[in-house]
Amino acid sequence: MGSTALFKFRENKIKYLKAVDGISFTIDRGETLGLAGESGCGKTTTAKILLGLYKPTQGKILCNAMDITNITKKELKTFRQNAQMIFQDPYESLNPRFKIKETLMEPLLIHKIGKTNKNRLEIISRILNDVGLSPARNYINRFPHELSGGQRQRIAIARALIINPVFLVADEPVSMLDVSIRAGILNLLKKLIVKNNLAGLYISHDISFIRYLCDRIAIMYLGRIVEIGRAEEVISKRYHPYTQVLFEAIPSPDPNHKINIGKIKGGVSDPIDLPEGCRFHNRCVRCMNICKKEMPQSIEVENNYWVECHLYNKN
Amino acid sequence: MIQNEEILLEVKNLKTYYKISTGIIKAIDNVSFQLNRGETLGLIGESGCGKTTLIKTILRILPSNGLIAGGIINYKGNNILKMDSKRINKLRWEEISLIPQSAMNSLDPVYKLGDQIVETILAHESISKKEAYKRSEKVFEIVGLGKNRLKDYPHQYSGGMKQRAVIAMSLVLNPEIIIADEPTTALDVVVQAQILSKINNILENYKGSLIMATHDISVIAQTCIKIAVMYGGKIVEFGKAQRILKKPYHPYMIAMKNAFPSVIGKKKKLISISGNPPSLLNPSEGCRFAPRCPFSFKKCLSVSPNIYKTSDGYVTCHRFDEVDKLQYYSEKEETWIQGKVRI
Repeated sequence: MGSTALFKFRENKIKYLKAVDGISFTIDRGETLGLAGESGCGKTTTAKILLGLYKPTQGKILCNAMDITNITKKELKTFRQNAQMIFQDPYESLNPRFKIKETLMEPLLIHKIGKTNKNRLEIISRILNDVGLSPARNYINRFPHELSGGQRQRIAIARALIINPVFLVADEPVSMLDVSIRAGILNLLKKLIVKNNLAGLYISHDISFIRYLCDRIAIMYLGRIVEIGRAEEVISKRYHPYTQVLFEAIPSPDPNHKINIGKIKGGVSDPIDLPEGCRFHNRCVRCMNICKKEMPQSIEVENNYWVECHLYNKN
Repeated sequence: MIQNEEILLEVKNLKTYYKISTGIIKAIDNVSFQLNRGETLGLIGESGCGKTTLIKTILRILPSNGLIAGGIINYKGNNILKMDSKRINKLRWEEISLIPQSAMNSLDPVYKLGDQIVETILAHESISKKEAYKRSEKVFEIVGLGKNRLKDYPHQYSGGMKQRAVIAMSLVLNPEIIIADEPTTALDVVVQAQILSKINNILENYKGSLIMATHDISVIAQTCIKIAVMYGGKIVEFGKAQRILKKPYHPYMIAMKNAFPSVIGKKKKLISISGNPPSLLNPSEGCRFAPRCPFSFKKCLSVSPNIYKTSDGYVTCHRFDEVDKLQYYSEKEETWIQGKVRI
């Protein structure tokens, strides 16, 4: 694991709809951070900002010590070689009119990788092998509609990795795939992140898969990170009341372990109409007076383990 | 739930095929099971296994190219497949209701919820509008929605609320059987937990039965007493949920267990099954799971497995008598890497 922080993302505030409101984190090479939370918490917006698809209203993003917050068009192209994304829908993210060969050739041509066509075809063969689609010759002349969802997602992964990025974002990469093949895709992602020493950001509402793939977990709620730490720690310690609710809501495949959803009331507030003070206070069973007035600050409860909750105020 | 031995639904040797330009798809091929009063049955399987086709066959809402090629579906002793359209229209919703997949998209966007529910009631019963409205208030109360929400339009509801509204609609005529097709798939985890709790709540006082189709083992674990595991158009294992979720007999179900990560307990290695579900266009005569099964041998590929009775149901696997051995080997990762180990 590298000791150089690859991304620093500080104090980003968006004015009207506070989709992402003051979040900070770092991701090292060889490390995967899982971003967990329900719809509307800001996880996809965060991913898009990190990839330069949205401009942040405030704050800084550093990649490889380069400030990419206000990146120019020319710099963006270089940046794109460093940061790639895998999308949720394998049926929508591949161009239906391109054969697999063309889908994988395009990034090589844009970024001028490979000296000759033969060279580029070798690179394509190699990446197809890496993602478990071999022999490559069985796939390069196919169209996406001839492949299954799982195979298409492997192509999407190949396309993202073919130009050797250092940062990979995966936004719900397996939620539209059958359960029995999800594990295969996740095992593949895990293997490639380690092999290529990538920094990974894995976004999902399914915490059980996040646990499987990620070193660290950040729990998001209405635009803020309420808890962030090592995956196994967050899963067992669950400092924040929302984290406790989230984990208890996960149904278990054990019929003797019925879910207990007592500890929460109501639904998520509208992000345009946020409550005063802590965003979660109106649903929190441990709400105190201070929670209704003041936004909690991030408190380091253990080494590099942060929680935003008044319950843990040092005073 | 109030259970007894009365058989509400009996499906025997059911076959439903779809005609397409290149041939016939045997979407469900010789499926049999029984549903007693008060039981909650989970239909578990992935895309193409036949669960939605099975549901559509029971309710006789197959598309025009669907044909029922054999078998019977007895509802309280009467074969649904032989009923005329008048009788079927009465059956649907009054006796067997449906919570469809993507339920939130099944609400009419230009009508208030109250009007939609009242319309459903009045299509089946000749009572006054006022009485029908009162009943809508009652079912909304059962699912935890305020009765003032009956005056709203679907777009004013959140996803979880729409799901509750659709569940309310399925209850409104007091059916004997409710069929739910992936009822919580599109919902966030906390909302899903609230809906599942509510479903369990309703079931405590409900005298009918529930069939729940889903690919999510955990959802079935929360609500169902019996499970039918479907693969390639067949039921490969049938029995008590408690037993199947702890000690499944069929290799496919054993594999499914390995594919679900958990947040409880130790982090375990996830094992996935290589390959894809079979094409049901001219399927093989053998076991449909054989090409992906690490325990298959020559016979499995050409001969359809017998139905072996178990203490709580049945399983279709040629190697059922070696189940302890199969379970032992299934825990090892190498077993599932295709072509590596022959057991």
